[in-house]
Amino acid sequence: MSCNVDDSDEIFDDDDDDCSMEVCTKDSHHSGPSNMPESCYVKLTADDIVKEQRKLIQNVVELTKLPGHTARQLLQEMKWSFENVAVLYYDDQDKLFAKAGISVNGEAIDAVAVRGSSGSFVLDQQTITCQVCLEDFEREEAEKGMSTASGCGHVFCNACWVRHITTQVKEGQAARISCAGETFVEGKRRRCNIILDECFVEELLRGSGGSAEILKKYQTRLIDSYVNNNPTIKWCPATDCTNAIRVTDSFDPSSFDTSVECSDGHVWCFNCLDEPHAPAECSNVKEWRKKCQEDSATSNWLVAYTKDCPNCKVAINKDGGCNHM
Amino acid sequence: MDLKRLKKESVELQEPIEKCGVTASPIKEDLSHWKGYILGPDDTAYAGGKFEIDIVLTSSYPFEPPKMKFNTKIWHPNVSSQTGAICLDILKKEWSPALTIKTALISVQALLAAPEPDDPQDAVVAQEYKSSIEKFKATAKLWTERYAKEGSMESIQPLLDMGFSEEQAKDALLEARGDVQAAVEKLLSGA
Repeated sequence: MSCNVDDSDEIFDDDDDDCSMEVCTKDSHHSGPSNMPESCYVKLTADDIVKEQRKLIQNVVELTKLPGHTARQLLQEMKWSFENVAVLYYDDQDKLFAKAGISVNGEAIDAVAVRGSSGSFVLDQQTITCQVCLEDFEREEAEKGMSTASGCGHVFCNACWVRHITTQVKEGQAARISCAGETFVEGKRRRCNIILDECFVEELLRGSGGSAEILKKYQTRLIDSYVNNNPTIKWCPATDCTNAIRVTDSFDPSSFDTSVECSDGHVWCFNCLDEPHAPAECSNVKEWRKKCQEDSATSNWLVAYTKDCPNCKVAINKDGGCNHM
Repeated sequence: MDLKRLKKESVELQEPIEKCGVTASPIKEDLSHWKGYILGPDDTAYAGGKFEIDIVLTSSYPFEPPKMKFNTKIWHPNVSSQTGAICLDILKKEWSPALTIKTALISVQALLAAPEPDDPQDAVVAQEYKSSIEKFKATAKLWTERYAKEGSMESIQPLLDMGFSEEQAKDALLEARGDVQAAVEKLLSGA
């Protein structure tokens, strides 16, 4: 299997000038209910997000001379901050690469392929066993029907790769799907920390019995992971709205009015994703909503015994077990 | 579920438990429910004990980890003393489809030798482990004697000689944390 590098290079050639990003300025004529100075944020569409992502990836490619998919992993790990990647790149490259799942952390178990290759591999033995389905493959079959992720040398049959990736995508993973292999780290067994790169996953999902639906989900999640991992960007909370807002450096989260308006005219508070609520603070609104609920005993209990999930803000109650969710 | 792989795993696990310290076999014909055993590692409070593990496989196994819990009661910071639930990373987010029931059981056995009290499943046990390691070891040893051994406890003989049943004697000793004198008093007072 090979990855078409030309394709991925082409997408970086977009001229930045024709970027359709709409920067709001004070001169714009819109008069929505949002009172925040409009220089504080930028309205983004899904296409703009893809373009922003590509531009950042291109910057890292230019800095590190690494392929695009690797640059994506570095950025993903560093919360999509080019500055953070650059600092750690000059400071401690090995640490950066291990963190981003580009180099193996520990000792790979059952690694049979020659290291450093992605997709296709060279085999120096006659038969090879897929360590997932435990089927034996002759060398010839193996070179056609099996693959390895880059760097670690773990080889599995394509059918097992697809099932592994499909399970991970269904569980909500995309940007951090790791190799199906295992390693020894400090005497303990661990999954292999190598992160599967984008074109490896896409090529497997296109052939080898992968489904178009999973491929689509995977690609959508990659964009999501950019937004969710980036504290300055949030999706518009309106149902079925695919726009997003990026706040600029002049955004002050503690200012009087933090409401923003997306390209489709939805207005919401950037801090709490609720309706605009100035002059009340986000916390006041939340308490007010709890109070307003019919069953005040329930809301009292919620206040006393639950905490909000840091990601989705749903109230959760810990009733035992360890701290892992 | 990958039946071919499960049959191979089943063959691999048929070795006697003495050989590598773990064993498991399916208890349901569709291979979705297994029963495993691990031996307590030497030089630990669990030495000499044989612990039963309940193993449930989902239809996505091996792409999803097996669900494992202790059926035998055990005193360990990372295992619930009430339900037997295990907190071990490879049974959750560190799982790899290249791992097997056997390697997972070996990892559970390794957890018995190297508890991680800073990442507890059972807060009471972890607290005891951190505040008084000697007390923890004594309780863990007693629980091993009481629940994980087929034979009798070392200190049980005097109580049996007094005419108490094995069940009564074991419970009393456990509650008295191994103190024979206290156990006798407890039994005689009828508590």
